[in-house]
Amino acid sequence: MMFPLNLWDASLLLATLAIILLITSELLPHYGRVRILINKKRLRNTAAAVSILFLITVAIRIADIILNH
Amino acid sequence: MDAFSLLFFTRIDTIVHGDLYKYGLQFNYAWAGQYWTYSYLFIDSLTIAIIFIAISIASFSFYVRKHSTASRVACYVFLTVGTALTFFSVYLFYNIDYIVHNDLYLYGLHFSINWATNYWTYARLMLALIGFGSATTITSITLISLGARKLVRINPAKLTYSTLITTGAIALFTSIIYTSPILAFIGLGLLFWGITFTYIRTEEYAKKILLDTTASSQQATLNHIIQELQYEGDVIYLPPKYFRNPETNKVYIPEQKNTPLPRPEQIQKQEQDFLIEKPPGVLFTPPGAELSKLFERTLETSFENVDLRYLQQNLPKLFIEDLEIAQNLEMETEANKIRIQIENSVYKALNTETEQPATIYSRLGSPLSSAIACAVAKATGKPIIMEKEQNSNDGRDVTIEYRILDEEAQAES
Repeated sequence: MMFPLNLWDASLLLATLAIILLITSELLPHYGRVRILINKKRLRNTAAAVSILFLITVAIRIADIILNH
Repeated sequence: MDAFSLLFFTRIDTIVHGDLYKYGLQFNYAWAGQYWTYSYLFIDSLTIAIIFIAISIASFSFYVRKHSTASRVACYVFLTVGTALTFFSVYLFYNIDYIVHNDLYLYGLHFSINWATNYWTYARLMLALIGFGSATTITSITLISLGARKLVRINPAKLTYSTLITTGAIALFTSIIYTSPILAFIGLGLLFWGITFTYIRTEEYAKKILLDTTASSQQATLNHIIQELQYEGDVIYLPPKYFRNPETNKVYIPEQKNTPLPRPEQIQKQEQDFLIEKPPGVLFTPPGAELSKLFERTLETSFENVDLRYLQQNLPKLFIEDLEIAQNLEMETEANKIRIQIENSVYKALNTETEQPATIYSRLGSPLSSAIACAVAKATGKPIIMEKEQNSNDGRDVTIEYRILDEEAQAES
């Protein structure tokens, strides 16, 4: 048994999630007159956290390329 | 679902007892006896499960009409036993599968992708149908038990995120077992959306109309009392130094206009009273007192420890982003005057739709303008008068003007 995704797959997934979260947080009305309540600040923070994770995977990949050459 | 599963099982049986002989299988009672036992048990248990589920459906329709407890219990029991038998049939099928993929090779069977593909397709279709049928039955049992309660409130958001997280976790776990990247992506995606849905409705949600109707009657009562007392002086928001407890927010209305401002000691002696005698006036908690405390809690500070500049910098963010009570807020200060412009405030309906005369509102102010007055009084440490509260025609925008009172000048006059 092993996890079927490699670092590149995880990187792609993180990038997609970060974009979705960021767009959602920016598209939400600037002040709450909506039927769905969501904590916009927390959503934006999560988007930032996921983006950082994505950048870390990119950094690992770059480091891997540099070290292997 | 179960009936279709039986149909697919007959196809599997045809492959075992027909096609496999073309691939070297030799008939022997040693394997056939075991195979038949499991097959008959499989067919019987699935047939009984179908009958039980049919009886439970009939019991449920009887329960819907008559609301009899016996029919509800029968419905539960037959559904539960039916589901258990379905799971038992899956166990039996795995035994059959073991015979096909192990024992039959001892009796001359050669593996070929031709028969294996058909066999696996039917087997997977059959198991998927049984799984889907069982999931539906379990959901039915849950919904019936929830429906039997006197007060049922199914939260769609909660149901959605629970389903997404459970399905995602199962998909992710299966992906690890079968090393399937597609299942892993599906599982992670479902988990992501499930977790995102948990953040929906993170705060208590109440319709705005409730806020308006609840607050307006209390404010109307307060306005009425002040009107009846015929106190003509300005509404003065007092700073913390006038009270023993610095957290107190109160306003003072003198009996006559141009009455000198009382000294802090005078107010401290009578701060628990509504009607005060020296100097004559009323002292009460303004409509925005609690809202002002909420501002402090949200900003994690006490307005006593900040100055007017802090309010100027932080009130827009507080109103727009943190509490989402307005679309825009601008605060201007000029000498002893403060001018605040609020766009699209949530309190707009309160200002325009209640039937109280505008003059009363201009004195006490809406909860929002009152809360800002409390904050300004605390931050400046000086008494504040709200000079004007002006609403736009559509009630969307509010302009409020405050004046900081010079206590020494007031005392001299």
